[in-house]
Amino acid sequence: MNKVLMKGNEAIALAAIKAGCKCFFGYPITPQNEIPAFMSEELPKINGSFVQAESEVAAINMVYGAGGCGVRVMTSSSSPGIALKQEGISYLAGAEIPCFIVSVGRGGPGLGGIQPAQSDYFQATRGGGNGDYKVPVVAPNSIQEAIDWTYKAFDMADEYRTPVMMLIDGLIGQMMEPVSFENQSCKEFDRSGWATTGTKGKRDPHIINSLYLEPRDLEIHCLKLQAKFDLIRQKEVAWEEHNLEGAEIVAVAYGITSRIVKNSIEKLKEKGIKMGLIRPITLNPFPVEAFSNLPRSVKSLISIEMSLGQMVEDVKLASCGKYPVDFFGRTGGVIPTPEEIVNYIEKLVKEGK
Amino acid sequence: MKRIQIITGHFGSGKTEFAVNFAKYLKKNSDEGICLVDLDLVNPYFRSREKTEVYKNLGIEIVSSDLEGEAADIPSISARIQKIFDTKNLKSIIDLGGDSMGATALRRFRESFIESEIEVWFVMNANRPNTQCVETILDYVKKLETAIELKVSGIINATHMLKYTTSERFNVPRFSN
Repeated sequence: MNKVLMKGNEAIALAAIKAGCKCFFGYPITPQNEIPAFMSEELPKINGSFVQAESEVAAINMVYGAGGCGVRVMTSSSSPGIALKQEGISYLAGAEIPCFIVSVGRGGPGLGGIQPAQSDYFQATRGGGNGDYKVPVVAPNSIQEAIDWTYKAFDMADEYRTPVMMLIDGLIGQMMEPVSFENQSCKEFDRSGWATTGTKGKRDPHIINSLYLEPRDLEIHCLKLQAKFDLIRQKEVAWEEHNLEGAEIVAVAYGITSRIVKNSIEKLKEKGIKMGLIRPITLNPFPVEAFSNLPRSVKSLISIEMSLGQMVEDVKLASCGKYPVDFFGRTGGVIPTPEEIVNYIEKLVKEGK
Repeated sequence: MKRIQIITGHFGSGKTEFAVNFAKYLKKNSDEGICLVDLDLVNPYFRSREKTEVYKNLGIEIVSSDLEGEAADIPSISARIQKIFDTKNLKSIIDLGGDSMGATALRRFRESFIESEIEVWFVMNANRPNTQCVETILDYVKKLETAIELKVSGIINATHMLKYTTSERFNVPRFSN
């Protein structure tokens, strides 16, 4: 397989173009700048459009415009920038506009810092926009997986007519790995039934809107959105299981943290402690099924995150009180080492938890 | 080599890796002061300034932003960089940020350039998408030369695939003074 060495951000941008993305609208913020930089260079070459908007709010509304026309479109930002986009994401979800949003997490709250963090789990999975809406969120843990899910995310966006978010942390965005763009393809979609492509005087206008003044109409609309998300829950949930056989403790970790945890698992093996891993790949919908058939050896779960405890709430909900759920996390841009995770787990085991 | 060695190239080619190891190599073979200038305003992570303390112990001074904290996201240029041009018995390596935009930072010191003292090396990795063939590499070199107003006199072939490339594939480099 023909491999090249790429930075996460560049690779996502290239995958997006290969997946048919024609428009990018964004505003600079570290650590995601390579995405708009790449797009500004490459989109004009394929007659696409790159706009550095005056703000994140403007950018997400440009996504609304292009997406409403049935064009494959994306934006990207980092923590405070995604916060600004929340209103637009609610409108996109309400108006059922397919689009791809990349969130490259850095430490917060507020301006925070520029080092990698996972403290935007709630921001991504719960969202800060108004109304009954849910946005599918995927969280790759390698650059190859980020590429693969970029193609899938665009397809999911079109298939379900929804915004799809990819949540990575600054490390996945900035680090480099050998990757391949071979064996990738995208589905064809017929958008003629809804996209605003011009009536040419031959049909009624298509309307892209999220305003439903009649309560019953709005309820029906929300139920339709909900049904769509239920379908995504049935068909698109993804997770990875690692070393579960005979495990006493099962760690739950996503993104870059899952790779650190895998190192910890090896070190714990040497100390005679069996730890497994459940790695949610879709964070929303959360892989609840992964917790229903754990081996009998499992005594407890621990959520390990680069935050002060966000996904841990979903782990508790998914495991329905069947297991005690512990938590270990670092935040603010501090990356946990495999050793400190090992020390924490050893302490837990000694205390009999 | 000349007194001031500028290391440049596309980001991710291995510039910083080369620059820090070249500094170590020079220090091993010389009692003179060695200065490593982190003039990369493009990359927010994986910076030579992250290892300031380690290099201080080896007798290599790292000159970076004057702002406190290795994670500062502010493209500030340290006034201390001026000393590498003014202190004639100091050998320096400048780790210059990727692409022509990043390289523009060096132009601030254009008036202090004495061309006989400065040499520019271009680090390339043929596994990076933008530097895979001769034409694109030369195009890149030209853009850099225009940005810094200096000629590139050497190309360092650092073609690698990170940990998938082992040291056995390389010969030990020999640099002439």
